[in-house]
Amino acid sequence: MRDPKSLAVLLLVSVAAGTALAAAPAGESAEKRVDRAWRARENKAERAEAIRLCEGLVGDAKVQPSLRSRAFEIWIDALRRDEKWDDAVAVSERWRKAFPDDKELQVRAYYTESDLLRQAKKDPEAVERLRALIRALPDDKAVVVDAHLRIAGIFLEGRRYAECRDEAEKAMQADPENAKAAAGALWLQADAAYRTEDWEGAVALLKRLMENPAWKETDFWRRRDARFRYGDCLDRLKKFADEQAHYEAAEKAEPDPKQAQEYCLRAADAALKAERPDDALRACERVFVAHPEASDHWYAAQRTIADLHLKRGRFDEALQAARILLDAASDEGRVAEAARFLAEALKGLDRNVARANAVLNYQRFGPDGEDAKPGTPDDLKDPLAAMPRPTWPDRERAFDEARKKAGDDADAMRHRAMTYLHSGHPKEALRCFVDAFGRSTQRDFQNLGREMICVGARAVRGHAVGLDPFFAFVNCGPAGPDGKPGTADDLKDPFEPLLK
Amino acid sequence: MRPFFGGGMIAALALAAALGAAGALPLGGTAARGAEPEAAGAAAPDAAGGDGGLAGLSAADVQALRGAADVLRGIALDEAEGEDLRARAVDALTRVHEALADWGRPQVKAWYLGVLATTASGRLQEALLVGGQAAGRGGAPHLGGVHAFWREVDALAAAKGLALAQEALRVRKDFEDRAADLAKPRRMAPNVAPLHLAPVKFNLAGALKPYPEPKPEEGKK
Repeated sequence: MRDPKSLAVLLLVSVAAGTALAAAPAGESAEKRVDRAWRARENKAERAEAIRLCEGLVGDAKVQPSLRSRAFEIWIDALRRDEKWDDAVAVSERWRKAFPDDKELQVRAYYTESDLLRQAKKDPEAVERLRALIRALPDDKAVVVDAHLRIAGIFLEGRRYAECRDEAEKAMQADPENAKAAAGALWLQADAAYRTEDWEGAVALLKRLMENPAWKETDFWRRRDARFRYGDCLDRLKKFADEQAHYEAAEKAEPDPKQAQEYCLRAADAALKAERPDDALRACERVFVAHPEASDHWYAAQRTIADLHLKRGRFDEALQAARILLDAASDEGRVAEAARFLAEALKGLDRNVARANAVLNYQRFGPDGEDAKPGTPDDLKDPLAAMPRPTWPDRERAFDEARKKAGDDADAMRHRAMTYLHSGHPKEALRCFVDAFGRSTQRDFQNLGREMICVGARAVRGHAVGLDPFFAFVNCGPAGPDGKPGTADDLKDPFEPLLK
Repeated sequence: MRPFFGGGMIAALALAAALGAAGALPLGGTAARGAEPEAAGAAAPDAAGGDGGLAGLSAADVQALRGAADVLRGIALDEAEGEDLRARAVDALTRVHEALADWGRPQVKAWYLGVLATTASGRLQEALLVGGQAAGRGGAPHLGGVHAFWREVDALAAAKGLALAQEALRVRKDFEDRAADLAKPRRMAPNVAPLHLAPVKFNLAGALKPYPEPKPEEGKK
């Protein structure tokens, strides 16, 4: 064991070493020390040094105020990274008190303290800190409004919904002319109403929000959420006709085609609940004809159309819609779904179950039948081969225009393929898929290659059995796995006969 | 990664117009500023061929895109430029070929390989290999040409003592991974159960009792 004297020496050496570490190298400028502290704060092992540097800087009256203020911020950030919330709050208070005349700094420091206290799970103290800010700057409307909104946000997250709504109201009252503040407050109030299942209240608040002059400048996702939530409230109130009208208006106001398509599908859903199946069908068709620039929701819309016709006993229309659905199906589950729709529609036409089953069996086993051997008694014929695909003039027109404007890259060619698939032209679709794959680069050849086979080639063939040669050809090319033409493993191009 | 101007043809035209208007760049293919690499291998693809295919580009668009390609090749070959700008020019050139759908012309692949032979820059090699693979495929619906392209890259590296940078090796690994994934056949034929119409059983025994046989009239024999 060390004697007390050597322990004291050791202590002195440690203190000296610590001081030496914190002390600036001779002649090091304050800027360089700030820069060093800024970099040191990132690394856990160097964080203590960052803090020592900052302590030195903020206590040095010769350092210019802006650098001292910067040192305070770095110090707070270093403590935050170590999750020393209370220490960080204490430093922020010192920062605030060191610059009492800098209003912008005061606001930033109060917000910092409030955030730190929230991270320390001390919401009441966080709220109190924001109230202190309001008391400190009662005449600054922007600050008062923002502080009230922050308090309302804390209440919302803490499930204190009534207090949230009151606080948001205070924000609106603090600056009645501030439309942006009102929009923020209304959103918080509507959120609180929604969470307490006050559907009527939420509807009224969201309506005010959507009529607010700042609505158009509201960010895309907030607008989307508000519209969906408004529709959801009407749905819960069983005001289906209002819900349909709301989504139709949202669709018209929406510049983004993918988002507009989502509104169409919601409008269709509401129309169905309002027992307006014709409106629902029209809404689904708008997904194609009003928004032909994007194909993201086409399969969903086509599926709804087939389903609706089937449920209404319109088996001819259901058969046509399901035929397109089968062409556009992109995986095994969707092929199965489309095949079932087709079989149900055929069965509905004349109760001929055998014909319906012939469709299912053909999709399941292909032309060679269950034994997978051609020329045997169980070979199958495609029951759909004799049925022409439907033609829908409105869709054709819209797609024609969309193809002209689609662009010139691989994605554009894929989109052209989708327009052909959804209008009953699988051969043209395959041609576009092949073109898209040919154009593609590293980023997209994999997905395009798979679609070219599983969707494009399958739709032309009419079934999905025996796609392996397509995969082998796409991977190796005509020279086969050995890469040498004229050898035994050469492969035939399976796309060629499909494109003739 | 997409080329630096994702807006496609219009952006390419804008770039070409901007660079051309600056008057600092040649518009005639490889008559580039600064030293030229491997003149034979990196000769500019000819102006013919590649009209956009099914994209339906107008003649003016095709002409402008070819002009843009000339400008971009000039930047890519200019060793006085920074490697990042040269690589971005190659990315953009790749995008122009995508628009023109002219990957099938052999000069295109030769150009990418020719420039590759002259550079040790990882970023530039990466851009050249991404475009070179597409050129190797030549617009065909299979990857046979890409496998052949990599064999050519190996031969080039051996012949010229070219060291492929990490970025280039990543491009190759990425291609191999994606190709291996694409080579796995997907099951698409569904295992759908046949429809079954349950036979209706008629129990008419109670409802349709046979009429009783008429009794023989009395006194009749």
